[in-house]
Amino acid sequence: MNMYFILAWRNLWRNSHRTIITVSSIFFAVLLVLFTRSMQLGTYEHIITSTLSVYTGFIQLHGIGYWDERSLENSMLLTDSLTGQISRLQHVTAVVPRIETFALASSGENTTGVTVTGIDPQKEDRMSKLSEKLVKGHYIHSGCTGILVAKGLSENLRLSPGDSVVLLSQGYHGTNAAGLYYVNGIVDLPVPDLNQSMVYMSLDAAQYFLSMYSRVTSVAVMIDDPDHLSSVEKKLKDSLGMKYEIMNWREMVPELVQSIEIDNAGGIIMLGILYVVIGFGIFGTVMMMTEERKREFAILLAVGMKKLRIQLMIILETMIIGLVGVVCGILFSIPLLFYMKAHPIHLSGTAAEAMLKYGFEPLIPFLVDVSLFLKQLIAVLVIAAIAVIYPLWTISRLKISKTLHA
Amino acid sequence: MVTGIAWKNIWRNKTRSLIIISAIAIGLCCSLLSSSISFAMGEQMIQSAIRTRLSDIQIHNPKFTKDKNIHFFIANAADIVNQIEKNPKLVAASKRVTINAMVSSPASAAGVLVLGIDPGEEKSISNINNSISKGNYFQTDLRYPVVLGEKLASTLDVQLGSKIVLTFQDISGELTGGAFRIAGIFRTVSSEFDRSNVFVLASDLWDLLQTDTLYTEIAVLLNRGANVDSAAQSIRKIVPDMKVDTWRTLAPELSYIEETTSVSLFIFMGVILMALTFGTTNSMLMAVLERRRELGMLMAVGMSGKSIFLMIVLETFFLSLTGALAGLAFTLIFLILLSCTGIDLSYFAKGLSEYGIAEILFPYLPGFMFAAVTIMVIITAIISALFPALKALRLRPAQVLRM
Amino acid sequence: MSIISTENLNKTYHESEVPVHALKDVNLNIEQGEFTAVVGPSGSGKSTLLHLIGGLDIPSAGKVIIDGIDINTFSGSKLTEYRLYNIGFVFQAYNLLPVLSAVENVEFIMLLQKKAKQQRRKRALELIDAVGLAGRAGHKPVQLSGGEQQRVAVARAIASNPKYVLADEPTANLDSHSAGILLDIMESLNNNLETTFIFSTHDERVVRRARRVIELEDGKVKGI
Repeated sequence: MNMYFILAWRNLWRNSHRTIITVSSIFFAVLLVLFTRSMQLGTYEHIITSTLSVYTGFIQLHGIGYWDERSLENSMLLTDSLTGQISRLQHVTAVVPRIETFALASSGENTTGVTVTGIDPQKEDRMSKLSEKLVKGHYIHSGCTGILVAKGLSENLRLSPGDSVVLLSQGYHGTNAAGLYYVNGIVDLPVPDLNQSMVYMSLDAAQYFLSMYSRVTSVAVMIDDPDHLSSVEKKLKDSLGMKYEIMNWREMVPELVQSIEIDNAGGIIMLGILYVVIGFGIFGTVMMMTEERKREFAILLAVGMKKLRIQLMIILETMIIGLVGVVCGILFSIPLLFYMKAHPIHLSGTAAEAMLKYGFEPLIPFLVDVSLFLKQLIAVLVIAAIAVIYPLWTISRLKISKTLHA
Repeated sequence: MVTGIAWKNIWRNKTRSLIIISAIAIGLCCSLLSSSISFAMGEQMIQSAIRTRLSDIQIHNPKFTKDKNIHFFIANAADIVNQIEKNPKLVAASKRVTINAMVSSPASAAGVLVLGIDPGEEKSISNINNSISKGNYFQTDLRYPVVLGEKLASTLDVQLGSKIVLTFQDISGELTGGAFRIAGIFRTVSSEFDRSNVFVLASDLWDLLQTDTLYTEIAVLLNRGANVDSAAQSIRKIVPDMKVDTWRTLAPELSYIEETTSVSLFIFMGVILMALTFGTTNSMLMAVLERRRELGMLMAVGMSGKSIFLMIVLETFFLSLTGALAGLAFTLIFLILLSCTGIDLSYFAKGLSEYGIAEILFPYLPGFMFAAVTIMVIITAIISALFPALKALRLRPAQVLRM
Repeated sequence: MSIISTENLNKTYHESEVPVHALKDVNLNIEQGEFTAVVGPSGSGKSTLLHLIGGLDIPSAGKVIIDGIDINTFSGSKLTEYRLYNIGFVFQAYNLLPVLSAVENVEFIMLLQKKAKQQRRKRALELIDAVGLAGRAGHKPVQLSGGEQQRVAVARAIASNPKYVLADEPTANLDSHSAGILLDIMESLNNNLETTFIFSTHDERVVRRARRVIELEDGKVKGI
C-alpha cells in the first residue's frame, strides 16, 4: 500500500503544473463555498435568533384561536401554577408572558395608532435585552404605571420622559379602555416599523388598562438549545395541549422560514453549479492523465502488473488531488471564518435600510460549523469518485498489444 | 491561416476540447438561468409593489411626508394632475386621501393605512380591482363601502357585508371616524400589503372629515421601462413646492433589491468563469505540452514568438467562445420555453408572497447580461490563455526537437 | 568564399549531473552549393552541430559565422527572422502540421514571410510537383506515407528560397526506396537551384551520394 502511495504521489508530480492547477481549482472552490455558506447560514441564524428573542420565543402558548384571530377575547388566564409547570420542564430557561393590542395614543394635538405591549419587565429584559435600547429616562418595573415609548413614536408625538399620553383602546369583553400614562423612558428600536409604533407597559398596568385581570395574550418559552425544541414542545403539548394553542417559532413565522428556505435553496444551487464546473476540471485532468499514460499502463500490464493494481493507483492519485485541494481549502478558511465570526460585517446604506425594513439588525455574522467543512470534503470526494470512473473504465478495456503498437 | 490552424487544432483532441466546451456551456447556461430567476423575482417584487400602492412617482405636500397629518394636504391637486398629465411618459395619475387609522371590528382592532380614492382613477394605476377575491371593487349601492385585504379580514374576523369602524384624526386633530361596510376583499401577492391597507371612497372620507375636496397624495404611473428619475425631475419643475418621490426613494429596500440583484449575479458569474479558467488553462497547457515538437518546428522554421503566442491565445479563444455560444444558445432556448410556461413556485408561495412574488414566475434576462457575459468570457479566455501561451514561448526549439 | 564557417565551436549540456561535451573545438567551412553529409555514430554531436549552425541553439563557446556575420549576435526575434528567410529545415520526424494539407504545409512558410496569397499557392503547388506529389497536394499528413511526408518537408524547406537547407537524419525513418527518391529530389534541387544542403546521417547509402563528408566522433571532427 505504501509503495502505491509513493507511486501515485510521484506520478502526480510528473506534470506538476497540471496537478497544481487542478488542486488550486478545488482549493479556490472550497474556500469560496465555505465563505459564502458561512455567511449565508450565519445570516439565517442571526435572523432567526433576533426573531426568537425579540418576537416569538422558541415556543408560544396562547388561548385557543388567538393566533388566527388576535382578539383579547382569545386571551388566556396566566396562573402561577401554569408558569411553574412550564418552567419546571427540563431545558426551559424562561417563561415570558405578554399582552399585545392596538391602541390610539394622543398627546396634545397629535394622535396616532400604536401597539401596546404589556410585559414582565425583568423577564422581557432577559429575553430581548429591552433595557439596553433605552436612550432616555428609566426602564420600567413590575407594578409601575409608567410606559416606555419607542423613539420614532416619541418624536411623532413630541414626547419626552415625564410627559403624559392618553391611550385609547378596546378592552377585554369589548369594554372601553382609556387611560393617562406618563412616559418613563424612550427606547430606540432598530426596526423602523416598530420604532414608529411600540409602547411598552408593565403587565399589571396593561391588565388594568384593558380590564383583563390575570390574563395575557401569549406566553413565550425560551429554551437552552434549539436541538431540544421538539422534545420540549412535545412535553408541553402532552400536558397542556388541550387547553392552549402551542406553537413553535416555525409555525408562527412560516413566511420567514420559507423565505430562508428559498434563499438557502438558491445558494445551494449556485454552489452546485460551481462544483459542477470544478468537477469538469477534475474530470478533464483525470482524462488527460489517462490518455497520455495508456502506453505506460500497457507496459505495466505487459510486465505483469494486475489491472486492479493499476486502477487502485489511479484511484489513489485522483483522491490525493481532491483531498489536498479540499484540506488546503478548509485549513485556509478556518482562521478566515473565525475572524469573520468575531468581526461580523456591519452593513450600511441601502443594504442596512433594507434589512431594517424587514425587521433585522443590519449585520452579517458568520457561522462556523464542523458539518460545513465535512460537507465540502464529501462533495469534493464524490466529484473525484465520479471523475475516476473514466480511467477505471479505460484501463479495464485496455488491450496490451494494440496500445503498444499505436 | 493562423486562425484556421488554431480552430483546427482545437479538434485534434476532441474529447478534451468537448469537456472544456461543455463545462463552459453548462456552467454559463446554469448560472444564467438561475440569474434569470433572480431577476424575475426582483422585478416581480418591484412591479407588484408599484402596482398595488407604491406607483412610480408620488407627490405630497413636503410637510405631510414628515407628519402624515392630513392637515398638510395638497392644495391644488386637480390642477397639478392636469399639468403633469401632458408628460408623454405618463400613463395615469390618481389623487388619494391617505390617513393612518385604527380599524376595529367587534372582535379586534388593528392599525391600517386608509386610502380614499376615486375608483375610476385608481383602476388605471393600481391593479387592486383585478385582485378582488370576494365581492367587488366599489360597484355597490352600500353606503360607506370599504375594500380590504384577506389577511386583515381574517384578523378582524369579518366577512363581506360586515361593518367595521375606522377611527382617525380630522384636520383639526380631533378624533373622528365612521362605520364602513365591506364591499370587497382583495388578495394581492403581498400578504404584508393585504394586512395593512384599506380602500374607501375619497368622498366618504370628506364627509366624515367635514371638508371639501382634499387630497394628500398624487400617485403617478409611467410607461413600463420609462426612466423614473427623469420623469420625476420634469414633474418637480412643474410643481416646485411639492415633494416628488420615486418608488426608489419611497421603498429603498426595493431599490436595494434591484441594485444587489445585478451586482451579486455579476459576482456569481465572475466566480463561475474564474472556476472555468482553471479547466481551460489546464487543457491548453496539455495542448502546448503535447505539441512541443510541432511548436519547436514552427519556431525553427521561423515563426515569430508573437505569432506562436497569438496562435495559442486564439485557440483558447475559440475554445471558450464555442462553449460560451453553446451556453448562451441553450440559455436562450430555455428562456423562450420558460417564458411560455413559467416556473411554478407554489410550493414556496407562502414565503414568497411575503415579499410580493407571484406563484408562477416568468424568468427573463435583461439584454445587458448577455453582452456583459460575452465580455467576461473573452476576458477569462485571455486570462486562461496566458499561462499556456507563455509556456509555449519558453520552449527552446533545439531542446524539444532533440527529444 | 565560404557561406558557413565555425570557429572553435563548443557545446556543453548541463542538463544531467555530469556535463556532456557534445561538440569540442569544431572548425568548419562550407561553400555555396555544397551537398554535404555529416556522419558519425549516435551521440557524436551531429544534431548539435546542425542545431548550432541553424541558429536553434547557442554555442557554449566559439562562433557560427554565416555570410561574414556571427549569428549569435542577433537578438531572439532577429534570429527567428533570419531563419525564416535564410535557412530551411528538414527533421527526422517530418514534423508537418497535422491539421494542414501537404500544399498548405508548404504554403505556411510563405505565409510567415507575408507573401501574397496567389503567389503563395502557385509556388507551393510547383514545389509539391517538384517533389513528385502533384496528385497528393490536398492530402493531410496522416494520409501520406513517411517518404511522402518527408518529401513535403523538403518542399517546405526550400519554399522560402533559403541559402541552405539543414536536414537532421532525413532518411532515418524511411525504407531504402523512399530514401533513394528523397535523395534524388534533394540532389536535383541542389543542382538546379544551387541551394546548399547539409544533412546528418549514419546511413551508408546516403553517405555514398554526398559530395563531401564531414565525420564526427565524440564531438570532434575526425575527417573531412
